[in-house]
Amino acid sequence: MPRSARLLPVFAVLAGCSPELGAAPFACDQGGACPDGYTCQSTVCLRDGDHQPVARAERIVWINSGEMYWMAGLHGGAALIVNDGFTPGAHGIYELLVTAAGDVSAPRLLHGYGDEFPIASSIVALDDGHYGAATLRFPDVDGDDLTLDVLGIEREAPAARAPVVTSLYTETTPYLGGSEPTYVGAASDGKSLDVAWTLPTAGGKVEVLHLVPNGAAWKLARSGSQPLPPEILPLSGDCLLYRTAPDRLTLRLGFERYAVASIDETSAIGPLTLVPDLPLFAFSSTLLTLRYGAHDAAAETSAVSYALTNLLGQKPIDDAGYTLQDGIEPFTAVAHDTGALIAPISRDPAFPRLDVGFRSPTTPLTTVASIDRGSTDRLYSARGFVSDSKAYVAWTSFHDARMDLWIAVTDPTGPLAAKGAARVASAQPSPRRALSWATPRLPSRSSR
Amino acid sequence: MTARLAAIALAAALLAPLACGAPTLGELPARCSDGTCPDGFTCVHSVCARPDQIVPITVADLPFLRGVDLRVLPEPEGFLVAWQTYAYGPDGEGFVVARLGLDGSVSAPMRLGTNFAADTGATEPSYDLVRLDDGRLLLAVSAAPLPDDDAAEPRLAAYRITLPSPGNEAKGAAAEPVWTAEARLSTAGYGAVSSPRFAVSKAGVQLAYLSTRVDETAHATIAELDVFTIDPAFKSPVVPTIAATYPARAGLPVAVGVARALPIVGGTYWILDSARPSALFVSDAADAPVETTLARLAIGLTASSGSLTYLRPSTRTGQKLPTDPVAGPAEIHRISQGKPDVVLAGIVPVRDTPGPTWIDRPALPSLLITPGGDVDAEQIGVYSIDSATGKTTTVSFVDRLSSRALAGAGAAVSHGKLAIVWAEESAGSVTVRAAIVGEPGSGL
Repeated sequence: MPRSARLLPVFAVLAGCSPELGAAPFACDQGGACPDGYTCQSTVCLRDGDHQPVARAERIVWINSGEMYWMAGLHGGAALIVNDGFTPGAHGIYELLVTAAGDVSAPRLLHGYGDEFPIASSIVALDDGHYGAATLRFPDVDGDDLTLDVLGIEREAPAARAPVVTSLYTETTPYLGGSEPTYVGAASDGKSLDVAWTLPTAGGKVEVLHLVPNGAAWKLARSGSQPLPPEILPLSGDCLLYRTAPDRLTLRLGFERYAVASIDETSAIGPLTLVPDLPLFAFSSTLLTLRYGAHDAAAETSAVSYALTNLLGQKPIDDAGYTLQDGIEPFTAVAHDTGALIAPISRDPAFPRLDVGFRSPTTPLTTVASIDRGSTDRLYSARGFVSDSKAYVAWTSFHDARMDLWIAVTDPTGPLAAKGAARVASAQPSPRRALSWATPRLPSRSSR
Repeated sequence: MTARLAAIALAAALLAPLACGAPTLGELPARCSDGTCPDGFTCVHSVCARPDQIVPITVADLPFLRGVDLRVLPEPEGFLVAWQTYAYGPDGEGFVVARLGLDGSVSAPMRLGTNFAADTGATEPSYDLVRLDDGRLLLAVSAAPLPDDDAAEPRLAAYRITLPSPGNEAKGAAAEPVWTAEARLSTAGYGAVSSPRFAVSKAGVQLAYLSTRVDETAHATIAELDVFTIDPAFKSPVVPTIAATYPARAGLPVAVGVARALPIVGGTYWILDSARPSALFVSDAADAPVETTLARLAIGLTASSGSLTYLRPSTRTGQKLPTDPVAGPAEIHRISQGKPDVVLAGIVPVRDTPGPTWIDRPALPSLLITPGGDVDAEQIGVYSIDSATGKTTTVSFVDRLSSRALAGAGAAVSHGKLAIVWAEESAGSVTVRAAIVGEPGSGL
């Protein structure tokens, strides 16, 4: 019996009145059932043959702004990996597969974990058909250690079985308490894995580990460490890694304040330099930073600019005139070609569109993808990605006491379209709600 | 059976005579908003009940409440029930008190008018509330910095609260800041915000906060207990000043809170953290403080000169979450200075969450009030415990008349009555309920 058959008694009554349900989408029931003539797509019933302009994959409690990762799909399209650390009974790392046409799969649990504390996670793609997932977790009540666990998680596993998850590498350090683990950073060239994390004891230090395959598990090939500068607090040592050359990385470190350091081919960490603004990306000799300007208390927005600076965060070349709603956390830009994708950007405080910007050391900030949100729900974070001539955008927003994860696919424009990317005919930007969480409270790591 | 179901049952029962004669009514047949009940029943707290039935009182209906934010304090002629409302909720950040009379009457809720602001996106503020001999309250609140604050240091505020006299609750409570500004305490970073605790004794009022920082000299991430001295009779706010700082939490997690204060003659036992607790004894005589690591999830109960009595709750099972099942008996332990930890007695199963309430009573056995081992226990047990031996006697059980999960609980005694207050929760809803029974052994 098709799932929609469960609603037959209800709709049979309605049918007696010859209802016209219309083309406007409405929510599916919890089991995904819809009346005849409609199909449940990304949590809403769509009339057969219709294509939803926006996709909401699901409703959730909270996805941290730093824990949304795009990567190219194994079989085309793209995969979005998110970490839901707050929905009761559903804490876990999830995979959503998105086609170039904008179809979004149901979230699939890759790695579930207990309900007490969220874990921090950073996800990269490995060449062996796995995700590399660097995770940092607090102990249960009987434990004493903070655990860094690097997992290999099967990508796009067959629907008939759960993805295979293997532990590749583990380290521990004494647990010092707090609300959530600091963010762990990861970068990969597909064959090796670099992981950055902060150990909070002894005043705090940051470590970068270079891991390589060694049979079923991986081994530590080399590492580097640096004590935290006084301005970076031990429990605020969030880490993020940017690849700036085949054998070079840049570390972004911090939560309330930020420092950057280069990491060479021996994993040695250079001097940690405090920067005055929020670094969103690192190029080989410049930083892309987010600079906050005047705050409008009534509109609950701030004027912002995106600046290219030297590696000290100085001598900014501003792309000005942009705005951010209070509470929006772009968190990071995403590498693309010679530049980086920033989302969301807008000059309109209402953010009627979800725009993705592209900035490179030589190209000023330019909008390369634009989605009509069809909503004025306040935004929290967004992440853009371009692959095979399609722009994939994911964002989170608040609706009443809920957070929604939306996904859209469109054709890139501007400098990315001009690079010869083949445009796919007819595609309207197609956001879908991917996740949606009921929440009595909204925890966050907001720093502003 | 819940009251709502009971109301349906009564409606059915009242209709039944039309068809089949005199009905058999249950023990709690219905609500009685107009005060009338069938023969043999009395309208008790808006529910028709047998005259000897204890009917829980509804104190408040809330959208959400952390269990630790439910507090019960005694007043001379009743009780105060306090809770926090949250910045992200419909009522905004605030603290609310309702009076619970000895007869079970519930006053209008009184917002404490502190104007303490909180970041809607950050972890909720922590608070402590004590009642002074003159009837006024002291409130301490700690929280993360506000969103537009570039500093990382957590905030600590203290207020003196004057409540209106009983019957005048609608006039609201008056709050006076104890300090000229919020205190800012050092922190080891994100999430390192301590819960504050008062210790009230004949020697005075102290407020403690566990701060964290990097000791550059020792290359260590450390915790220190910062103690403020508060003059409850202050005429005008003073600059917040840390009166004393004590090293704490050596070898233990540092980004934790002050869980409890147990003042005794000559000093105070400060219980630090609730998951991996330690007891830091600070002597009034300025002796070096002594810290003792307690069992996991241990709950400080009472202290006397030279010894601390604590409860080791039943063992968490499953994922070991606060809401998970527990197994096995609880234990009452005693630590005496210079002596090993001693198990005084094994007692009934006791959850750590919601934690039990311990009430010391001069010349009478202490009371332990707990829902026992089940988070959805339909009864709350009252036990009499000889604090010298740990000998436990079951006194009574109070029916909750509900199987909703318990989020928090508290109790207090006043004028020969014992008030048991609990918060029961379901999706999107928390109800604060109370039952008032005779104080065991009081003779009143």
